Amino acid sequence: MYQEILKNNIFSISEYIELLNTVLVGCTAKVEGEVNQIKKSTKGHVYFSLKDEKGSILECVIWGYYYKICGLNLEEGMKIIASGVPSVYGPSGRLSFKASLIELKGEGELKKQYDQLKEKLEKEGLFKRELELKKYPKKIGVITSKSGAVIHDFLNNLQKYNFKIKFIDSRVEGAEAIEDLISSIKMFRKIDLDCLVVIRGGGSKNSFDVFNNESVIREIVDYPCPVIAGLGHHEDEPLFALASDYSVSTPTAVTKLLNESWNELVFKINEETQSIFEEYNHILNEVNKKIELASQSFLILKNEINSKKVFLQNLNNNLFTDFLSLIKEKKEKIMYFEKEIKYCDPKRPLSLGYSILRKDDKLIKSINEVQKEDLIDLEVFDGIIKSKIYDTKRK
Amino acid sequence: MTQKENKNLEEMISSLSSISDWFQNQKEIDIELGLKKVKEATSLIKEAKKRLAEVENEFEEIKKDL
Repeated sequence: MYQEILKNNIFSISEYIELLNTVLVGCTAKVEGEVNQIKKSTKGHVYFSLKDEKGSILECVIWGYYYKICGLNLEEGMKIIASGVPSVYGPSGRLSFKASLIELKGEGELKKQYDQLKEKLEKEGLFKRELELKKYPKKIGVITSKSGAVIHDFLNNLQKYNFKIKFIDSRVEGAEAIEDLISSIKMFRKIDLDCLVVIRGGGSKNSFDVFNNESVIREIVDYPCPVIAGLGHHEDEPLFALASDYSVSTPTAVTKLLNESWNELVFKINEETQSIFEEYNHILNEVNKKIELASQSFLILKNEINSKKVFLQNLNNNLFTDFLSLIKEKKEKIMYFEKEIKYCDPKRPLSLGYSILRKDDKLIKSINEVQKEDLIDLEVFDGIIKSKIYDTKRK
Repeated sequence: MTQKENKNLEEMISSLSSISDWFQNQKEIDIELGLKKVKEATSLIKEAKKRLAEVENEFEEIKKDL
């Protein structure tokens, strides 16, 4: 299409460069080379050239905003990889490569940058964050990639304490992740959280570079709640982890940290529950013992009362029996006397046919006491017979 | 009579016992005196029986209360 337009039209220089730049937008690429001729404008834009072993040179520019995000301090001689698009600058007619991302190339450079940044941030006191994770955290902000297994592991290892998880998907590897991470952290600033969790799984040494990016690190400098990094690392701990309030080696370790106070609470509750039950059982046993003791005392008392009752009853019965015996004895005595008196009654013989003789009211006991013709009284059982002595006869 | 009423059961039995002894010890009973003793004894027996009956009744009442 472009070829037809170019072939059939005559353009002004400006028109042609404009068209050219439109075409060049499609030539996004990553180029690597050694940095030369660095110029930094007051607005923060950085102009430099990249050169390769064959001596080819590419003029480059990176706008202040992107340069800042890259978190690098470009120096001459550095080997870098720049991502961007080529563009022709109209007023000069020169081709330049507009970089939107710069990454360091080579172990030595990376290490050097790491050490320099670490020293710089240390001097600024950025590694002194020590916000304490509140007990029983609930509102958790999580930044990681949704495509990895990390987020699933993280969620699976969190115990069922009704955590309110707010998740923002972000790339966590490669220079492209820088912008994602910065915007995610910024977004979480607007949300009330108990802590911010930034996690990623294991990876190659270079894959952690994004967490050594100054701009990313500066996003958490004055972060209002504790930041927990669960990044893992090889030799050097990512500077982001050093700048965080808590740094643990794996996402699972982050969940342990979050679960910890809840687990302790559950343990304490269980312990207290156990203690309450034990104490209650102890009290119950004591009460039961007292009841048992009281029951025994009551039983003893009851037995004692029954014993006294029996004693009194026996006493009563004995008293009655003894008294009845006494009455019987008295009765028998009286009956005995009654019989005896009956037997001794001088009138008793009268009923048998005997009689008592009296002369002048005096008993006649001998024949010598009477004479013929004497008047005498014969007392019989039922009366007196007046008599006169007809004769006497001695035995 | 006054003398009998004042006597308790034991005294009455004791008197009866004395009368009984009296009869036992007489070689020759004076009928007149014997009769007098019999009368006294009869009266004592009657009174003692009455008194014993009273005691028995009282005792039954006490038993009921218990």
